[in-house]
Amino acid sequence: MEAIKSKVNDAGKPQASTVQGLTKDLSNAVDEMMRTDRSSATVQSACELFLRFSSLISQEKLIDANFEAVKCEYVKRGNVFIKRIEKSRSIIAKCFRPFIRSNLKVLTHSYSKVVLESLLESKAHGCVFHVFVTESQPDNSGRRMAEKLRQSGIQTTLILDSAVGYIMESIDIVVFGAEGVMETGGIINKIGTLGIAICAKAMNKPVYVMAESIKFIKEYPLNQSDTPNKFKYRYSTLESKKDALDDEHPLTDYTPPQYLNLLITDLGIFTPAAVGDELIKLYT
Amino acid sequence: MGKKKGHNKPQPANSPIAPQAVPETPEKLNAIAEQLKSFSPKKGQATPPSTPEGSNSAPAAALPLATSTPKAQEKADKRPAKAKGKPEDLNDGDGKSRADIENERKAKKLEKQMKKEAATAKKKADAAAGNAEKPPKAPAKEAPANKGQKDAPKTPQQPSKPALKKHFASSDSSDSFNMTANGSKNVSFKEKSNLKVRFDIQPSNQYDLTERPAIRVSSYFVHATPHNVHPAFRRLAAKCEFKKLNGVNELLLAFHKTLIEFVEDYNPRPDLPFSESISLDLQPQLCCLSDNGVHPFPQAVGNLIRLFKKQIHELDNTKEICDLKTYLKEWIENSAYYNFDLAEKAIVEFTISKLKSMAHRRILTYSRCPIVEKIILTAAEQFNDLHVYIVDDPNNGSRGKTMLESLSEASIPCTYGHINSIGYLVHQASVVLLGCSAILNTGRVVALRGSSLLALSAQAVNIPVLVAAKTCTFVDKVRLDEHLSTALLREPIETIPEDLVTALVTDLRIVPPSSAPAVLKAKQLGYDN
Repeated sequence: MEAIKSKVNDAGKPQASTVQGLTKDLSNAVDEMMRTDRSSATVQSACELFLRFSSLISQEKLIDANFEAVKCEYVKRGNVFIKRIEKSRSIIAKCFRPFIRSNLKVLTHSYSKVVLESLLESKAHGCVFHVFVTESQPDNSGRRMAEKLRQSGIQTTLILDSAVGYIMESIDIVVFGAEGVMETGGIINKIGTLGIAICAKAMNKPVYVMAESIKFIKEYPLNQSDTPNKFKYRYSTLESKKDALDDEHPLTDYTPPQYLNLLITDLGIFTPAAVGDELIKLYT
Repeated sequence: MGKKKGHNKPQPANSPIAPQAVPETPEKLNAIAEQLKSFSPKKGQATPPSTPEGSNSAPAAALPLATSTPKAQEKADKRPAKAKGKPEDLNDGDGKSRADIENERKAKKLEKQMKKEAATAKKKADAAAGNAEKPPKAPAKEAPANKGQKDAPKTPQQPSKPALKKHFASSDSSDSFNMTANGSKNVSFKEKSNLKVRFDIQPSNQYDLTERPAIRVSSYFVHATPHNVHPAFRRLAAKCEFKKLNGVNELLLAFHKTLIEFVEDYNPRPDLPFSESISLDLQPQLCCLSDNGVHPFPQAVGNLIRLFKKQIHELDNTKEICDLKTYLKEWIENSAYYNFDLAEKAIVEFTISKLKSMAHRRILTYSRCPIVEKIILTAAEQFNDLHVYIVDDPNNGSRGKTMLESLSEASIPCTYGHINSIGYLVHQASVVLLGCSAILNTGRVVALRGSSLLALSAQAVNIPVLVAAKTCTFVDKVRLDEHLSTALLREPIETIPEDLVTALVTDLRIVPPSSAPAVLKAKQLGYDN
């Protein structure tokens, strides 16, 4: 989100005097952001989509001789984009509400803002349910999630990553966020997601993924090794250890679409198979 | 155990051992025609009295007589007596046998009713094809056929072609044969007589490529005579018969060329506007190839034909004829270019981008697909550690050997195995690369028989399955009648379920099989423009 906002500010800076120059500047800004350690699949896809969206100005406006006007257009569209994605989380939360009934046991993995917001919204509408959150090493982000959930009065249990197999039989639904949604319909998420998804499939528990549309990525991984390295490792790691990545622990893993039941996005609720088409629509 | 298929032999047998070999030379045809009076099921079934009108008679052995049934009865009298406008590549022997058999046909036609004969022939053929040495079986099936059936022969049957061949080969004697059979065997099989017996198709275990299933009575067909069929189409049919064209890709390319020839030589009828006249005259050509709709075209060819017809339909008739012809020819050439040169380049690029990210490039492939071959050859230039495992079906042409040769020439390390060794080979490979002849609407892949074994094994050991599919091979069908062979291609095909396929590599982009309808839509729109 912040990444996008900064991009819009960039657009406002009067540095370029042609459309091409402006696009180049924006791309440079994107590259800058990619190079930070906080870059992730989300940021990358969001930046790409932002670029595409803002460039989609109608022809007449482009021909306008006054470049300032064109730049204003860019900024305007950028703001529209931002507003849309600000709303996307609440749209997803609304879509998710019918899935939560009372006395449901929900399993989730690591810290995801989208999942958090959806669960909070369901609680606010009076559902009583029990959430199990995995600790999600190495950064212990599950703990943060559990804290936030407890603060709003949801009954929460923090479990070990290794306890997922044990707890799965008493779970009703599994919910993940996503850092990126791929063209296959599979997702990239915090490491450990794949294991939980496989376990859920083995025990016939439904798996739902919540992702905003800016997270759609135009890649087609066939398996774990086929996922691009820029999603798996931080930028600094990639730079420093370009050749010896075998020793590095990846931060994310790829969950293939056959382990997912539904994807809940701000564009609607999709099966993994339909995501590919939606993605193409977004990117054209 | 089995002598079947020569599995135990050092060299795989290419033809079935069963006594169903079809004589394909005109001399033999003549010989058999002359033996008609001494009809016996064994010989009789082997006879294809060549030509349904307009098709090559030399390879006519394989072209089904099935169509001749309705044809014979309805249009035998209209048929020109001799093949006058024969193309130069048919020899004299053909004409002789053709004339012979046409005479026989006329004679037979007068005697029998259409439906009963077809039904009878079907049952007989089934029996005869099933076991040539057991005549009693044939009459047994005739009995119910003769009694119960009133409908036109609609039920597809596997050996109906040999049946009909026999039917026409045996003139009057077959009739008498029927009668005796009826009389003698009536009692014991009476209980079947009122049943409408439907023989379901069993896929042939023997890969007898001359066995043509299905009689499908088409309500509309154009009588294709040697006059109105352009020799280019007949050459195409001949090439397919003689296996010069293997696989959908080669067939499509050849078909493009055929169409271009046809358009070039075409002189429109004076009384009709160009587009109408050319579409009218296109009909007999296609009928000749597909025997009046009995055998459907292979899917991708059907696509091409449909689009071509659409182009014709949209022609602006006010233009000059030579302009229109040039336009059509250009369109065909463009389509060939897009669907072959460009499409293959795109597919190769996409696949290589996937291969790039793999640590060990061990590719498992089945038989020979020209696109897969191209992919591997191009990949070998970029990667050093490529290893190819080729699985082949010895009973079905052993085309993998051709692939093996061409890859070895490029110094790519290869391993070759028969389909029996798939269990071992699949553990060595890291990715499966398959070719296809069509993609259905649901995402199912239509490919050579045996490909699904690779896909299934790959899923069992968790390696990805990539299918190289050109967008021109996407069809808007949900189901194939898998047992029916198609008009020009004789290779046995099967469908691979969509959940076994990881990705379809098309020339648009890499696509999950479930997105096949989206590709269909995109391409149709593309053509609409």
